[in-house]
Amino acid sequence: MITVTGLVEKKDIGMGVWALVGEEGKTYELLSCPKDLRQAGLKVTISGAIDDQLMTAAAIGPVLAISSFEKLS
Amino acid sequence: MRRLLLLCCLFVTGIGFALYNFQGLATKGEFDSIAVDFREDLPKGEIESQLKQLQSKFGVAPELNSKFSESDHLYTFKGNKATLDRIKSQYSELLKDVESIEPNYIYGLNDPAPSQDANEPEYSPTAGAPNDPLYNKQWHMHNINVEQAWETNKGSGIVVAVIDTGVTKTTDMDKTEFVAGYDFVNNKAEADDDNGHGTHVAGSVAQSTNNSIGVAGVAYQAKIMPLKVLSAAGGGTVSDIAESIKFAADKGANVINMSLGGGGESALMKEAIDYAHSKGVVIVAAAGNENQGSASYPARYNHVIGVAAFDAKGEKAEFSNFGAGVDIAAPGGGHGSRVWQETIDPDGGAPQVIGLQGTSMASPHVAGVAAMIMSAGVKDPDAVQQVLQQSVRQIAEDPLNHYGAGQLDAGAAVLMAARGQISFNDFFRWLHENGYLNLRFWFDGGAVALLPKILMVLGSYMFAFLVRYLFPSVSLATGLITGSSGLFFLRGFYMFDLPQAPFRMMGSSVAEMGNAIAGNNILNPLFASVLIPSVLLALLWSNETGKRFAIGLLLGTSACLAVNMVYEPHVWMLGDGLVPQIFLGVNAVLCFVLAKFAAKAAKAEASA
Repeated sequence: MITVTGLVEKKDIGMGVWALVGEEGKTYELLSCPKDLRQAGLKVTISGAIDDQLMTAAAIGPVLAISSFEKLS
Repeated sequence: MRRLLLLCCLFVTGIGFALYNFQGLATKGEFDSIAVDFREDLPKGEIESQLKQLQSKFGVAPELNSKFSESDHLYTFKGNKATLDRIKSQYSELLKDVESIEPNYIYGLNDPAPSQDANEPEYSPTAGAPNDPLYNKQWHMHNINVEQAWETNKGSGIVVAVIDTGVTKTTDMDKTEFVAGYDFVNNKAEADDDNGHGTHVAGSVAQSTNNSIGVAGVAYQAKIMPLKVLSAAGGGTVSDIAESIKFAADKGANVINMSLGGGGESALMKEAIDYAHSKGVVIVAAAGNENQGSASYPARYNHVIGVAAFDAKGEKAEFSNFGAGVDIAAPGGGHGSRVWQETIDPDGGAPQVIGLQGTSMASPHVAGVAAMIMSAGVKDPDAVQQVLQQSVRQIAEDPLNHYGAGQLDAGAAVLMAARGQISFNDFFRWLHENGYLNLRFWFDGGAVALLPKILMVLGSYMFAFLVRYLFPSVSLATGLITGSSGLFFLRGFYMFDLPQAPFRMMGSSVAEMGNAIAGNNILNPLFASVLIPSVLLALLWSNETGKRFAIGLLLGTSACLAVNMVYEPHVWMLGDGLVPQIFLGVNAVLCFVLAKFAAKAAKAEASA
């Protein structure tokens, strides 16, 4: 389980994909991103686990399977 | 010791010339067309006056690159390296008005690909473009020289499995043949698309072409096997994907395209890939979109052709992975350009032609060309990969391995396949196989232009002979190597997930270290001069070993600068052409003269 704080971004790759760009610069893919989080520029803290059994069409970084999140802005 | 040095020298020379003759190496990029890209904000009148100047001063005839490039202010004209050098050195007023002026490796679309073999057959004129109304948007089809490939075949008789979000038979798939696939997400026989990604990818492979609808596909007579492993959201499990690979191999697929990536190393996946490869299937995968220095899984597995993406100008796409695991590059959009195919609107399912970007879009171009190579009669998957990589447009300078062997050229690939002379270099096969064994090391044979390096080493030994100082000394040899070429073979050495810069540093001579981190070929004048070796000579003079190292370094640097003067006279702040040539030449002479004096003094000291 990891906790990442950063900004939500919509990445223009393939059909488009939601991502969390952590403050440390690492990009995580938010596969099946909850509607509440689909807002580019939103600052959030997300807790979840990296699912390394998943591959994706976007391939923009590890998939962060969200267990909880907190909006900061 | 002297014999040993001579042996080493002969060994390096022998290996060097053997490798130099290997076709896949990036030797020197040949070009006969030059692209000049004027600043976007430049008024039309100013551009016209510059074009006239170019015409009158250099006798060239610049033309808009295509009807789409008027707003980009992109012009091309016939010319070679000499023309480019002349313009750059004699016409500095132009440089302030342009974003770039460079070899046009990419836009010379109607020209035959650089010939590797003087006995190549004459190319017949292209039969003309297909009648698909939006074909003119598809720069990515023109870029890979697909019309030339179509003169030989269009992929008929070959099955391409598209492992993705499924494939929907849209309007512009009316003539495309399908074979039975499977939906591993919902466990059913029909593998329709509910995302849009898979249909777009399948469109690049085999969109119905010359059917007066929409856009074109690369190998449009190949059959599509739709395999759905990714959900509507675009993700799927390693186990489903591994299963789908085995399914494809068992059901007669000849090529597999995987425009997907991520996850960790998986024995299951590796086993499935080895199985498919053993059954003669060519496996192609996207390198991934993290802009990082190694491809993601599955592109980095052995037996998978990893595909990086470049944009409409032929430059690396800003998102594309590079470095270890990238075998070849293909059009994938980027910097505002996109790959255009028909797919479904995920909301409602209506067909639409849309532009997408990603290494996902690059991979199916390679899969399509692989299908055409197989249709031309090359069946062994390793041989197909070899044809893909040997027929590319090579990129002369690619130190970070943005492009693998180079940029996909469908026309040249299919011609090469049809000629039926496929040789496989055992040494490189060995490197390739062993490099992948533990998924840690990777070797890019194209990273080093070997002939100049060999000349630098030989030159430094020749200079050492000239100053009569070639008596047994390990430190002299160390200096010679450090000064002339560095451990140059390390430049092509990559470790997955680690930066490659340290290998580039070790693979550089002192003169080249100033630009090794940046990974370009523009020499830094502080490093590429007599400065560092002479300071080291002064500092190390009191120490016998140090003295010999410094003398070796001076001689090595002299050889390195002399070779650069002839081959690549680019120096930071001095541009290229005559001025840096003089700079490099003067410094080479200074290094040699200083070494000669130092050697004389050292001898006198030793005999005193």
